[in-house]
Amino acid sequence: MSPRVLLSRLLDPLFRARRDRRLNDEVRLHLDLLAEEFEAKGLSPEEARSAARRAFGGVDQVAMRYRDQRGLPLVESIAQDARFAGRSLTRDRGFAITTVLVLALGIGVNNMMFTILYTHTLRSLPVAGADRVVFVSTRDERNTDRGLSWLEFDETRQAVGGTALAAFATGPAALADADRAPERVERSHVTGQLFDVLRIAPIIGRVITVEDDRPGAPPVAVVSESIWKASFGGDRSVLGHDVSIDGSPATIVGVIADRSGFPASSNVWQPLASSKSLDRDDRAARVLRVVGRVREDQRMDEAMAEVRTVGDRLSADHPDASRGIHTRVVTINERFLGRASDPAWAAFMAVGFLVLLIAAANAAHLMIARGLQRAREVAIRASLGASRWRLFRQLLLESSLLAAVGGAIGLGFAVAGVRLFRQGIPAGILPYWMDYAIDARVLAALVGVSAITAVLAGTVPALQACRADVNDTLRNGGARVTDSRVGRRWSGALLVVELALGVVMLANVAFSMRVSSASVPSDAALTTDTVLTGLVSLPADRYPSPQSRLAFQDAVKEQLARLPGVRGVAMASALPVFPVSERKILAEGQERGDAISVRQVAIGEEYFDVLGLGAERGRLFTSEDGVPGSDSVLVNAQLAARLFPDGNPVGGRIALVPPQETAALEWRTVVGVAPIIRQRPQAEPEPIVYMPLRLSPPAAAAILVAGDLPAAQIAPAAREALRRIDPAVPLYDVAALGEAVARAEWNARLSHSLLLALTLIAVGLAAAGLFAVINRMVAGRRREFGVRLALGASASDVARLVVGNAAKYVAYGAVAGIAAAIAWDAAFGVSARSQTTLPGARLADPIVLLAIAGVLAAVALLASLAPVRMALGVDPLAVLRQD
Amino acid sequence: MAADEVPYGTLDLMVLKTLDGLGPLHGYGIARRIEQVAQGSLALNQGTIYPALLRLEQKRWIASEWGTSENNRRARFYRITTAGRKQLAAAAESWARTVSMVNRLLENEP
Repeated sequence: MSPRVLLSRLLDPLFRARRDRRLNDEVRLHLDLLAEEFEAKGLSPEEARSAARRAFGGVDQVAMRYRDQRGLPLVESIAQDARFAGRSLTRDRGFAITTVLVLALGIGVNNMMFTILYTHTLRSLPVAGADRVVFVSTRDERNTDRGLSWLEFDETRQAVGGTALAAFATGPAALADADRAPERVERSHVTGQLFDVLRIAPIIGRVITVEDDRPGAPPVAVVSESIWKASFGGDRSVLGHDVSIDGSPATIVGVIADRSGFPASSNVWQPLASSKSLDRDDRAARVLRVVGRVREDQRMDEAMAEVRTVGDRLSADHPDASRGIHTRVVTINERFLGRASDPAWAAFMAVGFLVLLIAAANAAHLMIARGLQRAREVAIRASLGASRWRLFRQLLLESSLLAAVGGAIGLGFAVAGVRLFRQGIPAGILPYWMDYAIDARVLAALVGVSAITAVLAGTVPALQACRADVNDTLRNGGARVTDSRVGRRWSGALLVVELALGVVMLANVAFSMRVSSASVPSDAALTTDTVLTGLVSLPADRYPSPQSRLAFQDAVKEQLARLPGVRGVAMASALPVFPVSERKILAEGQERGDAISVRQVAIGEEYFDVLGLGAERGRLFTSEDGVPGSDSVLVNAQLAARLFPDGNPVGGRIALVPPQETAALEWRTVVGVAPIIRQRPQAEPEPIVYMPLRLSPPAAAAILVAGDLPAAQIAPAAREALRRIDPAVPLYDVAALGEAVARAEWNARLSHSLLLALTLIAVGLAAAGLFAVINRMVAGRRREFGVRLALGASASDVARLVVGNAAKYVAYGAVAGIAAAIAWDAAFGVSARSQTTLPGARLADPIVLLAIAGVLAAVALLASLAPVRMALGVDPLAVLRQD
Repeated sequence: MAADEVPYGTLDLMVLKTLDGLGPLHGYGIARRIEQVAQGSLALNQGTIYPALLRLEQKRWIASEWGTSENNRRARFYRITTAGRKQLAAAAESWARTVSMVNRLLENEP
């Protein structure tokens, strides 16, 4: 197109009215002159007029081509088509709303899942130049993510040339100063290079340097912005302030911004040289995490290979301490974010696209049904000179409009979904860099997905609608339209799969709800708000021996028991529902190889009393248990059933299997059967062995205080009491037991909600799909329904026909779904693996499956209401007249 | 559409030649003249002349103004411009070349 023509076309909108008038005048004159000519040849005026029109050709076609030549036809006609599509969609509101909702659901779920995936894997860590930062770790057969020992780190650092390495070790600590109660913090001991390697700059003061990280250097500490604000009022005078960390003095020299520190959980940093717990001589004490920045003049792969080679050579040089130890070097993003190509994430995203695909297919059905209903409109437009391409474009534009609105609403769904998901995760669980923000890239993904959906859902219906035979359609008035037989068969198959999927997911939800909601007697005791819980963690250098830890425990119990309103105090290695360690156990007469893995909890003798629970058989612990000369343990009913299937466990002997192959078994006597308490959120109770806490007092312990008052009212006095015992040991994570348990259950609760939401969406989409297919069926057979009505079929006959069709799909779907549920359970042993003891609880439970079939039948009835109305709305006279 | 029975691109050439030979004409006049010359060998939908006229005008090969027709009606008269004459000469020459080439090709066919 030459510039001049383009200019004329661009300016067209200014002159449009005038140019339209001009063409009208010219055409009228032309026709008049032609007619005069024909009249002169002897035709009557009317005959002359129609002969003139014939000679001229289609006036409308000419006008259309004239307009095409005149302006920018593509832009103009698309704008025109969009206006038309908008009008015709508002006229057909039911169709538009259903389709938009179906698409919004698909796009929304897809985008929500993409947002989560993106946050967890695709973003970069907020570390400057993160793509040149690596993470170094070691692995062996048992553990794929070990750290490095000091010797390994130091020797690697000196041997490596292409990468600057730094190390850190993180653990709990207590931060206190002259006039404040101790506060529990996460402290990292770091080498002098860490802040340099990660390019973390202070807000005020300075960071830890190589000079600080030397033996004998003055003790310094860097704190996070939130500690600075909360504990030191955000005042600059914090610099130079003397504090005590785990009882050792230190001077604060700098503050770094929240959301910039590393590791994310830390809020206090000190030089590694000041660490009292680091063993500098044991090559196997692999407690250091190591990061490094590759020098600018080095290639990433070469630099990473160098670190790996040095590490592996060190392992080879020290076969005693490093047998089977391999060095692993990955980029820091890969270590902390994982890879999107990880199978779990791939499966996660596959679900997102499956939902989208089903939604698009359903939308396509709805559009095909609508295309069948408006075959007449399309035929008229074709006969008036609209080209196939123009019609196709028009229909595709309609689906794009629907997808655009669906995408906008879907964005709302995604935002709400992500927010709900985020709220299901308690604060402090995720590192600060995972904030699920919907940014430009997420929006771009949304727009892309919406566009793909528009094409996916719109192409086939548009092709089918504009392929129809114009003459035939016009002659029979649009009553007889043909639907594609192959397309119908495919859509039927897809629908059956959707329904079957719904059945399996419903069965799965019903099963997991039954298992997790099956109550054990202790559940009521765990929801109480009159038991206060908190954690303590004893610094190794102040409490090096079991005796010192025991003394601390006794002091805690004595001090807390004296507080007003307190009925009992207990300590344990972990709270109910919280994760605990595992232990291998066997009964008398069993071989070492028969040992089973069970959970192990160490409890003080007051534990069950504080929880208000009594022994099921035998007795519970007393102060005599756990002292030298006593060998008592408790088991719960699940463990008793495993070890003593047919006898009384009380008085039975069990052996604890030590991790070392050669060490002797540790035999103990069962003195009682403990009440059932879960140690895993919302799961079936598992076998548990209870050891006396005195036997080996742990450094990290839970404290439980039963009172006559709500826990919140006891908390301040309890904190103060602990501070009196040792200012360096704060009580942290203080909460009522019910609250703590609910918090621990977040993961299970969140996955349950997610499963439930996905199931509801799957069932909702299947229902929409059923509606769409039945709608399409009725639209394609309108003439048949008209004939039936004309021949005397009653309304209920027609209704039965439509509902029967829906019932057929549901029956196929239910049968396929039930078969799939049974097969799935058999193949993956879902029921068996959950170790459920509920009678008859299994994935393919007949009663549950029947109930699901009932639900589907109701859905089928609902989904066929509108199609029945459409079938009955066919006017038999109109249908017959057209034949 | 039926107008495509006029070989593609030749309608422009015919319009230019007509206007060059006969002076200013309205749309009807141009269409009648082309039909006359074709002597029934061309099935021209006369309406298709108008998009062609607009196209030529956009290229400034013809110009138009309102005038009065033979029966005293308001009519739009088209005339060829200088640029149009140049284009006509170039197009006619290229047409002649094409035709003689095709003719030679057809005649040499055994």
